[in-house]
Amino acid sequence: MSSRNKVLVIALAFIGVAVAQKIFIPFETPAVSASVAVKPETLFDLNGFEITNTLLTSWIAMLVLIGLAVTATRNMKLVPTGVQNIFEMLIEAILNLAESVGGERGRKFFPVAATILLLVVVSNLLGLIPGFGPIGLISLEKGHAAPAGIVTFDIPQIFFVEEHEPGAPILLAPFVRSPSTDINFPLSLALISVVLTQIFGVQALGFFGYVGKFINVRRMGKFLGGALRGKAVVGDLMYGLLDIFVGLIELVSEIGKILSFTFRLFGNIFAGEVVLLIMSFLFLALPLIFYGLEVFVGAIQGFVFCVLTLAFMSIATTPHHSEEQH
Amino acid sequence: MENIVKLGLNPAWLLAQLANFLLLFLILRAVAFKPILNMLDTRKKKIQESLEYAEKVKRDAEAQQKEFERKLDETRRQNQAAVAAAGQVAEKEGEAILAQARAESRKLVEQAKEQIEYERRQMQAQLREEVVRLSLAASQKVLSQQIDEKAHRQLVNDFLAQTDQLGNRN
Repeated sequence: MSSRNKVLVIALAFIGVAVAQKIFIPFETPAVSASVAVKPETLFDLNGFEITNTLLTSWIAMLVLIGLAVTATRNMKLVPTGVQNIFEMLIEAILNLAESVGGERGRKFFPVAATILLLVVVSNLLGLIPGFGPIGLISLEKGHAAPAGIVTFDIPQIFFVEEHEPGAPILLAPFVRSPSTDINFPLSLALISVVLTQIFGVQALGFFGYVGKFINVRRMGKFLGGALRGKAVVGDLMYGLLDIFVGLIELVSEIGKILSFTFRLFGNIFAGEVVLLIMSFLFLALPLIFYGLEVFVGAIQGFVFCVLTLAFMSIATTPHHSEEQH
Repeated sequence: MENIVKLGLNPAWLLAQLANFLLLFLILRAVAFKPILNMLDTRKKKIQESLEYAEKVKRDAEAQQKEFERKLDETRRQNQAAVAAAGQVAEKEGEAILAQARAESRKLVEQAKEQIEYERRQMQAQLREEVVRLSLAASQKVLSQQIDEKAHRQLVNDFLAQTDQLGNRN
């Protein structure tokens, strides 16, 4: 079969699936509209602390990871088998990554980078598990039945969810939603990554050595000293100003790191969920392709977060010799 | 700021996520990272040791093989020498036995010869005696007692001595 024929067959299969879907699986529940909410939905309210679906999912991710780690290391053998073998391979791969980026300091950066990688990947994939999206809380007016096509169960009234306003669209709050689509999760990881980077930097270079990177007044001091003795060198003034400016840029870039970390993860995963939602309203086979893509993106984003953390930590702990080189 | 809140930023949730991460980090570090890194290091060391040990065992085996071959050669040579020596000894012994046997047989032959000679002498003596007696008797009859017996015997003996001399001369 030539490649052109293959393409034709695949295209026909797609159209066939789409037609079959329109005929056999009508999805026409006008009462429920697809919601694209940036804010995570609140599931329960515990004494004023709202437990969101993203928080719940990150707890599930934590449980999965801890369970995996405990299973893998409960009965450790020198010759690994089963879960231990797989988990060790994973950890070793991350360790090799950390050591290839951070060199001998890689071991120091490894625990936090590995935790970030594992948590992000697992929580991203959790949000993608089929079936979790459509299962959740839905608030209804009292005495009103759920729209056609939706199966409802009463939950105990221990948890109080806001009353449904009459006339407002009925929105489903899924139990499981990828934490990366809640800006608090990527922001917390970004804060941890950047703050730890500063701490490692100070540890490696000393407080003044590290802060000197941002407030670099050495050459300005040289110029002022020269000026006091009546020998003002214009070059020193220029370089001094330049150093101060570069230091300010470094400072801003540290803050920028927090933003770029946060919105890279948040944007990618949130956009992915939106794309999947939109695709599922187009036709059946298309979401499959995007689903595969989202699995890939979910894993890659965790990897990127981890590698960037390692790289920034590595840069922050490397002594800078810019003054000596001039 | 309002826009950030619209995005869902919430200090409580942020703190919850930070606490989550810290908790997960501590648990994973205690449960997974430390033991696994230790295990990886231990395994690395063990593998290295095993490889070194295997190398050593191989070297030892080679040395032993050489030693064994050397000993085998030596033993073979010793055996050959022993066999050769044994052969020589056997040959000598055989010769000795042979020589002894020859000597013995010669001695026997000699003895037999002596016996024969002795018997022959005895026989000769008896024969002479018989001849003397017979000739005496015959001559007595012929001479009819012309001479006494004593003289007669003397006569015959002389005669026999002469014949002996004749016989010996022949």
